[in-house]
Amino acid sequence: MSLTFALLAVRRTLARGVWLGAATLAVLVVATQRRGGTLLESALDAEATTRVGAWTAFALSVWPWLAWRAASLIPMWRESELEFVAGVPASRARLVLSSWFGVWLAMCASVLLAAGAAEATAPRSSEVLARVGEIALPHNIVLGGAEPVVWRSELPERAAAERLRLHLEFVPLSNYADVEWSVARAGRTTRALVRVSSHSELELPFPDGSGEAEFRLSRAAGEGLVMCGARPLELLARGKSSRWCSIVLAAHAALAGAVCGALALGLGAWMRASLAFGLAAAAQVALAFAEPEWARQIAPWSALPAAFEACGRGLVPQAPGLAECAASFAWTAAGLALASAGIRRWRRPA
Amino acid sequence: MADSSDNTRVSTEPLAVEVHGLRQSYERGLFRRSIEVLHGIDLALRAGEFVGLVGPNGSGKSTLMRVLAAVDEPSAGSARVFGRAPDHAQARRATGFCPEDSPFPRELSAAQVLDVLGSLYGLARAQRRERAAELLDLVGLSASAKRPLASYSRGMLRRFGLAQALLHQPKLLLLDEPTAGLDALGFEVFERLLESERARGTTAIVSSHLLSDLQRRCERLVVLVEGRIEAQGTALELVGDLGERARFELSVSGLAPRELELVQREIERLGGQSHGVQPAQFNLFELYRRGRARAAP
Repeated sequence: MSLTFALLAVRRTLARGVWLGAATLAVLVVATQRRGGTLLESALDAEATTRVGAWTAFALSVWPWLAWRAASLIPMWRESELEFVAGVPASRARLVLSSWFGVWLAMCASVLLAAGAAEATAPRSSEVLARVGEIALPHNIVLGGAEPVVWRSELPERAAAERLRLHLEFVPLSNYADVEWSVARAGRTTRALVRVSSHSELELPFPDGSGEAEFRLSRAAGEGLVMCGARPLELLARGKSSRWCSIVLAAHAALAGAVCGALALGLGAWMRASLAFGLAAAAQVALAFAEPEWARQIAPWSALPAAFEACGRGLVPQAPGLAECAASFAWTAAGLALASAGIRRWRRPA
Repeated sequence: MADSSDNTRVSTEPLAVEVHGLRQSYERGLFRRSIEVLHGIDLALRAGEFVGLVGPNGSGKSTLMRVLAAVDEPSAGSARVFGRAPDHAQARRATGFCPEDSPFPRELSAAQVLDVLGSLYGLARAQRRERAAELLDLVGLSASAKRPLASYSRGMLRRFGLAQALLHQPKLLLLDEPTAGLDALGFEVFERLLESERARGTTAIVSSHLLSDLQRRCERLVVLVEGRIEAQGTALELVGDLGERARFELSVSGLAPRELELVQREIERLGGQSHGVQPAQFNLFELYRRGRARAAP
């Protein structure tokens, strides 16, 4: 890899307009921060909303811009710098790898800027819960009448998790419904009661013991349909600091940046930057709604939206796992291979 | 080296450049119509030879250069640079290419572009810095080394093009229209560089659409017209083929302008025609040099 060639890619991806725009955005995000909560919102929720708001501003404005710049790199060589790159005794793979590294460095710089802006807007370092795992729920948990809904589920040993969180949706036939949730395991039962009037969450301490646990959901008062939506049962642990939200999010974003940079270079080697960008955006939308589930999971940066969502709810997201790293590596390799093949094409008669 | 039966010595070293039946075509237009730019070129250059490639615009000079510089792949035929395909890493390392345009990152300074190129040619950091400083000094761009190329004039870009082609001390120089847009200082730099490269034993192909540009600098000229080699030889051989239509320029010094009239009369007495007397380009260089010397503190 050539570091000087990589620095050229950094310079081109983070062109003056891009970094000025990103810096301005960071200043705006910090200048317009909300301080503390409101009557209807706890300070912790306000902090989470502000933090994820800063990240979202970067994700929607700066990152697509960087991807566009990355997709323009190879077309730029082809259109005006062919003799500069095609005649040097460096392999195509070396040129592509160096450029990708430069693009990735530029993306990491923007991620650090986003993290800085997000943490500057959320100066309080408070204790938060971290999401350490999840358990899929049975389908059709709907509490319609007086009959309770009971299901059993295998739970891990109490190791990292300290609490369980269940998400409830409400279809109102009256103003509210009082719902009780209980978990029984190894002869001990814990309960929680909540008044549901829209979307609600129920939390219980993680039950001691081993093996299966019995979950029971029943209505204590009120009317209306109460159901568990698409969200799984979350396993939560106490996190060290709310700043970990941005740290873990930055790790996800750095992985996503690696994939995005490689795919942008790869598609840009075969088509105009605008077409490459449009195609990638369309594929992203298609994959976001793809069925079956595994198609969504292997999609590029598939864990990033979930990490954003967890941050928005005041939780530290799960750190990138082995599967996410492996999928990111595979997508990056595919993008780089595509780019190398594209460079091969320009040297033949048009 | 090996002795042949008739006692002539035959070199076993590969030729610097060997081109056989080279064809190059491009597809253009809505219906991808194929246009052949080179129609079966055969050419060979010995190591250390300076060859001038002359031809009108669109004759295929740049296309031939781009094939030899491994920028384009030929549609048919073969090209070898020191016995290897042009895109072989060793052939690329042996070749320095000064393209007609300036296809370098314009946002970078001359020193930065040379640094990037040096790293891609595998030169160590200290070595490429030293070489870049030396070359930029040689082409008179030391003072502008840190300015972005976007702010350079056309002549400065041509001088930079020459410098980057020499960065890795190539054995084969491909100079595509190197004098286009050069000012007097640029010509001087160009002449000096060519002389030092000739002394180093470099092989060179220099293209131009002006015969006068090349005849002094190259021992052999190749005339390319519409993608075919029309003629090749020394300048005098080529012009000699024109018979009575041939014209010659006589370079004279040490005489006053009015004494040149006597020379003209003598030419007419011998049956030739004199087409006028005009000062040589050299005088312009002298005027510039004198001006610079006066301006210097």
